[in-house]
Amino acid sequence: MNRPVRLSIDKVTGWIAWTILALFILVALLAPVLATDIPIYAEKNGKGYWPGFTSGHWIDSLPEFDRVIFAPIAFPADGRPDLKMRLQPPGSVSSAGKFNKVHHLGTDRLGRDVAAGLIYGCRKSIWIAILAMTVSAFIGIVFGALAGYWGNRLSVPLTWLTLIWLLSALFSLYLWYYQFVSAWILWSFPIVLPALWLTTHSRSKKKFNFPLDMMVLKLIEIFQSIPALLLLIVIAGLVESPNLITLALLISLIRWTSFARFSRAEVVKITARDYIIAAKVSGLRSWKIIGRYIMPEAFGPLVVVFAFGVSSVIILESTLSFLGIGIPVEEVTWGTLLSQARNYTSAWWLAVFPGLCILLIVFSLNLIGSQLKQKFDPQD
Amino acid sequence: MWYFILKRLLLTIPTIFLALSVIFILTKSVTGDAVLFALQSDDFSSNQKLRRADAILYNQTARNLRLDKPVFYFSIIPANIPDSFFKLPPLQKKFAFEVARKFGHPEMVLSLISKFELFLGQQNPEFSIHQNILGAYSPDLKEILTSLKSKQDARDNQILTDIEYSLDSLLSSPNRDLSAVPKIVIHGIDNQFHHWVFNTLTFNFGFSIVDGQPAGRKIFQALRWTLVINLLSIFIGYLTAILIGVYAGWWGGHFDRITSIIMYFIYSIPVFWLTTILVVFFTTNEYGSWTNIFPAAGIIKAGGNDSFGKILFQNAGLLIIPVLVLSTSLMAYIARIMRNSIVEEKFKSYVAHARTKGLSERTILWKHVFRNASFPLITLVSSVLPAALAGSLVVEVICNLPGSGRLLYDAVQDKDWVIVNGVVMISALLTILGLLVSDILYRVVDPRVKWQQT
Repeated sequence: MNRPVRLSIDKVTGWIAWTILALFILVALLAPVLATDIPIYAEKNGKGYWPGFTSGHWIDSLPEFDRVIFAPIAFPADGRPDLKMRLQPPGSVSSAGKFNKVHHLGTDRLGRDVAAGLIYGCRKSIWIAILAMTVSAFIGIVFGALAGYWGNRLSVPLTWLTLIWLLSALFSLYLWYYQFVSAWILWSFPIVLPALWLTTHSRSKKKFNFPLDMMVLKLIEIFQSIPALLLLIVIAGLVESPNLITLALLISLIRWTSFARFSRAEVVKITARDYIIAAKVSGLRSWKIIGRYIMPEAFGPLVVVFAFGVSSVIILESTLSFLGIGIPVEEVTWGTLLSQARNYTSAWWLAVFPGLCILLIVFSLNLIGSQLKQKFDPQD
Repeated sequence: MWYFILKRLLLTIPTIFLALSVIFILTKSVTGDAVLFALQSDDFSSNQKLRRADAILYNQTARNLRLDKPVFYFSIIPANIPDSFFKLPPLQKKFAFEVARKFGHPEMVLSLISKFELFLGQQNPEFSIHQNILGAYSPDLKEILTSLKSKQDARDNQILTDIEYSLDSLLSSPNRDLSAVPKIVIHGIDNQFHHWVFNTLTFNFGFSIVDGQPAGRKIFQALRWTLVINLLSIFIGYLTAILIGVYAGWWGGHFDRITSIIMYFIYSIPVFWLTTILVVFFTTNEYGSWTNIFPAAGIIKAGGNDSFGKILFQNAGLLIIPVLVLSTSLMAYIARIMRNSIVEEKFKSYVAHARTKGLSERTILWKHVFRNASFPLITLVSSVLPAALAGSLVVEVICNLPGSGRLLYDAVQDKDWVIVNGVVMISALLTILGLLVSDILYRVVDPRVKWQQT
């Protein structure tokens, strides 16, 4: 009795969540077409033009036309400020020549259109989130997989060769820093790389167990012992010339720990299985075992981490831009639009719409994440 | 038990030490010149070129910030760079290393700097333009040379022609005379890293750059507010979450479904949006008098000698929005986990056994099921505290509450390094302590976990 009802509700919420997400992604992809002040279609003396698909100075010659069809949002995102139209409520009309354009969601403190800002903010948020999560997935999975696979028993041959290799690698770093380019090339390729090969293939009986797992776990613990937002505010606030890419990279510098934790746990679980032991016994290379037999198995839980991670990055990014830290002042994002509401309390549209966008996308991502979690991890 | 607590406390020390090192490395490698940042807070923008007076200011600021010291215990430099490079004042040191890295000839760089100093020491208003050009110590030698040559009117100065000559020879020298053989210069314990780690470990934060007050006292005063809000909202959040989560999991049905969706929804609301909405709509008469529910965020009213308790009591109204927001977001987070935990427990056989024994539903739920289902809540204590600290930063900034988050935010804006270090350090300490508390609670609640295990 109970089960079918529950399933259908899950199905409906899942469907709603995927639809919302798809809509946001569609808006992000189509942002330059959806919000632009170049008209889609213009008519002069009975002759039609399609300015959206050609180039030219359309703004100046706009009054010459008889009939004009604008894009759904007839304003560009980072458009020039229109101080006559500051803080206009939704539905107010801006005149461009003899044509009227409607600010569907009002304007901000510089007279820029909020709807256009939201559309471009969506583009920026999703872009930052995907970039940050991809980079942190890369860092985290590499660390987690290596730590999980080798544990505390990454055996390093304990010979003089190892020590010599370490020193030569350090020397190579030194050469790189002081820009001895030719010496660096001459040193690294004929000496350091062969020495690395010799070290890893040495048949020495004496082995030293390198505590890789412990080190990675300690690193994760350290990063988690500082609240992510605080660390991010400190570092992002002191970056010399902030832009969206550095912001994304900084976020990934802090967010990689969740990927590392989950991929380590998965890899530990899978490595203990019989077929991996068989693969090891059969003499398969370690990187082949990890890449071909372990990581595909660990894929599901990592997708869940990715989905939840994207939503948390969106919240982090909008929090930072709300606080005005780590992004350029003139950049229009959901966070910066929302932060204007603090100073202009009568402009309710600035408080409501950007927040609603963040809420909807985060809500849908969380629902999708938990749906994926049920799919990949049936015990939970 | 005490042995365990002591051992864990001792184990936190290396963690804190490593966390400090990581923060040090991150801030050194990711951020720009900290001295320039400190200067920027005195109405000095970074794209503006340093002038001569600014160069003196630069060296002073660097000394005040103790950034004139070497970075680490030792440095590895090319063998033919003399040790006297490290004895130069900060701006000159930066210039010397950058030029030597680019053009080599360390001895020539040293003599160039001494010629610069000689020229800058001359009291001659005729050469003030030239002095401004040279006093900035910009490592872009080509630009210096071209701008010197463009001002032909000062040909007759002996030192200036000398400088032009040596700049020319440095720029035109064919090989970068820098030894590829490294040498190690030992600086001893008087370095930035050592001071940073040991001063923070001994809570000796120093004095705020902005107003010169002891940083420790400033942080302590701010931290009281943050702790009051956070502890209150953690308490309220846990209480409501346990009630909702337990009954949603136990009863199931429509109540469960509806609360699940609602909790998901609340969980997705960004903290800063909820706070902004409450502040924008519910603290003013702008949208009708009925919406003026909460006291407007404002300045804390306090007499000079009032105790903290009295100040807190007088301004209790201002805490309503922060506590409401923080406890709501915490509640949504915890209630979901509580509900899942209860659902997992309620089909286990001991519940059926308790029923056949004739225990009342209430006893089964609260005495047996809840106790077993509460383990996840305890492990959560460790992750709730950092989340609450981060969340309270935003709330404090919006509501103008003088907590530690607000302090950190202002310090980052003012580039007040001392305060930033202190607050980050204290938050890390609180988080690690939270971890310890959750570990101890876990062992208190579950007698199966032995104290000896770590």
